[in-house]
Amino acid sequence: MSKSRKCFIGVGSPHGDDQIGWLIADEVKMRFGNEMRVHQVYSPLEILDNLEDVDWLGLCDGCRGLGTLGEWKRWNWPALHSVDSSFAGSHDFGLVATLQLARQLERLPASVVIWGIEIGLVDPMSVVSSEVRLSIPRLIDAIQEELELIH
Amino acid sequence: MSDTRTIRVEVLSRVEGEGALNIRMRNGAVADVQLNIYEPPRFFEALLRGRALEEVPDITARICGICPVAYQMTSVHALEAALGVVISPEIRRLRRLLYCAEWIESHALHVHLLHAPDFLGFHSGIEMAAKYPLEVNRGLQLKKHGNRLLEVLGGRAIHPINVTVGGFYKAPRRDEMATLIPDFEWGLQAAIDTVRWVATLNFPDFNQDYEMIALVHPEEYPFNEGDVKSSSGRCVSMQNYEKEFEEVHVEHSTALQSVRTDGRTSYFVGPLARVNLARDQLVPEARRLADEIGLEYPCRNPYKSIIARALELVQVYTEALAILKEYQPFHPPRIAYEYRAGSGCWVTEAPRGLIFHRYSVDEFGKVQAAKIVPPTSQNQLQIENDLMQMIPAIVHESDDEVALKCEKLVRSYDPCISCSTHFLKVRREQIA
Repeated sequence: MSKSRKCFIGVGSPHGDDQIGWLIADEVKMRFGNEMRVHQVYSPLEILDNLEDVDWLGLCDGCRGLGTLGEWKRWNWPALHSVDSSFAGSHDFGLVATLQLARQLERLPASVVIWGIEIGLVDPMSVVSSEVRLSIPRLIDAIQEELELIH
Repeated sequence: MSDTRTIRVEVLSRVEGEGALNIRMRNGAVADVQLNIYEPPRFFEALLRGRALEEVPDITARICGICPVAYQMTSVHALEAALGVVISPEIRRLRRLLYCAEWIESHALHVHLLHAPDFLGFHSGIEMAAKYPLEVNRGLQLKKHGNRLLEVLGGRAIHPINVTVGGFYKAPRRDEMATLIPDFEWGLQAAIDTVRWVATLNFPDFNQDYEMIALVHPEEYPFNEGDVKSSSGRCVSMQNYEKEFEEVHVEHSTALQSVRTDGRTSYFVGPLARVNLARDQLVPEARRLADEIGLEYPCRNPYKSIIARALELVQVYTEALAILKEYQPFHPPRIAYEYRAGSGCWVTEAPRGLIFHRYSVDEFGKVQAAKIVPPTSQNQLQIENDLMQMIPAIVHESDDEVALKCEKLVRSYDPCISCSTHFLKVRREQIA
């Protein structure tokens, strides 16, 4: 698969543990930037702007309800489809709703992998917690394994 | 024995103001309708007291994620009125451009993804996207234009940070503004297409004798300057706003309801009120389109607010393009001022209607008092009255149908509580 057909997007913000999507994207860009496009976005809806000519899409976002801080989970898109999207429109267009919309618009790549990381505090401009930061190397290893599978 | 039927919409979920809808009928007649906003008050007015006035625009922007510009700009104007600040024409034009950006992103999303599904038989914009990809993609593209313009002008797409009392922290570069022009030229044509598309929708036959209220200006479409006009013909300066309208507390809502001071009657604010009251100030293309599609004047059907929003998209794309093309960086980007004790108020037009702010500041630049009246509180009683009028005609239908039709009517106002396109859960309660 050529570089232009793989894309990794980190969803996040500068606030506390919510930075994790961006930190992972930074690391992915440093390690695998020669074989894929890498983006950081604030809002899941911005994912739609980066799907052209993409066959494989990797996504990383902070989430809650997975377990302990820093614990992460991997989903393939169809599995995540069953999660309640709670499509909300202007204020709260979430990740699942965005992917559902992309699918309906036939803009969703053939392969979509999502990594969610359990996060804690997201106070404005606060630093990422050590527990969440510790997840980065393990998650990068997992992403590398994933990339090796699709080579 | 009376037969009481209660339709209770327990959660208006995923909304900026959390709320519910309670409809009680007795012997087949509507006894009561309550738009119950139960979200705890956020006390923004109290939060502002004692703060430096420079903090106010960034704090008030946080009231809303979809219309932060209206909140922060109304506070800026009101504080400038208190301080006696007179801004330059260049700053004034950039401020209008900022409003254009917000209206574009707000209207584009509401028209295409939140409101249109109601007319086309879909539960959501996502469901609609499979059959109407062109329209949904168009809505997303237009929203992106608005967000991009907010980034260039305001520093970021949500909760802009470049706005300050007296002007802007930094005037944008000309090349940044120029790069937006091709997209906005495309957007203008897309907005025209949007007007023609929404005009083909089937609208419920529901016309009411509203008192519509909007800002009006003799030379421009209302954004941030002018007088407050009523469809009754009465027109007052914004300094007299509080003589005409007051906020009252109702037991079933934590949000204050705004009513007419004389008689405590409801009134209607928003794009339909603006189009009705300022039709002559629409740009020629928007006026021509209104005529082409046969939009009645005045229009008293709230569902046709979607047409008004589409016409306003044409309006703001046209104005934004003109400003973008003529833009030259200027200096100073903000006007200096000195602290003085005083009070000032202002009215502007948020995407979803009139918004009022008043502030008192002391000689050290600290806020002593603040009052903020958002559009949704002004439409709240009107929404309840509309539901009272509509429900008798549909009372024979199932609770689900009644709830759905109520939801659609509520959504036509584009209150912040309309963020969800499928938010009603209904429980029937029979009381002997």
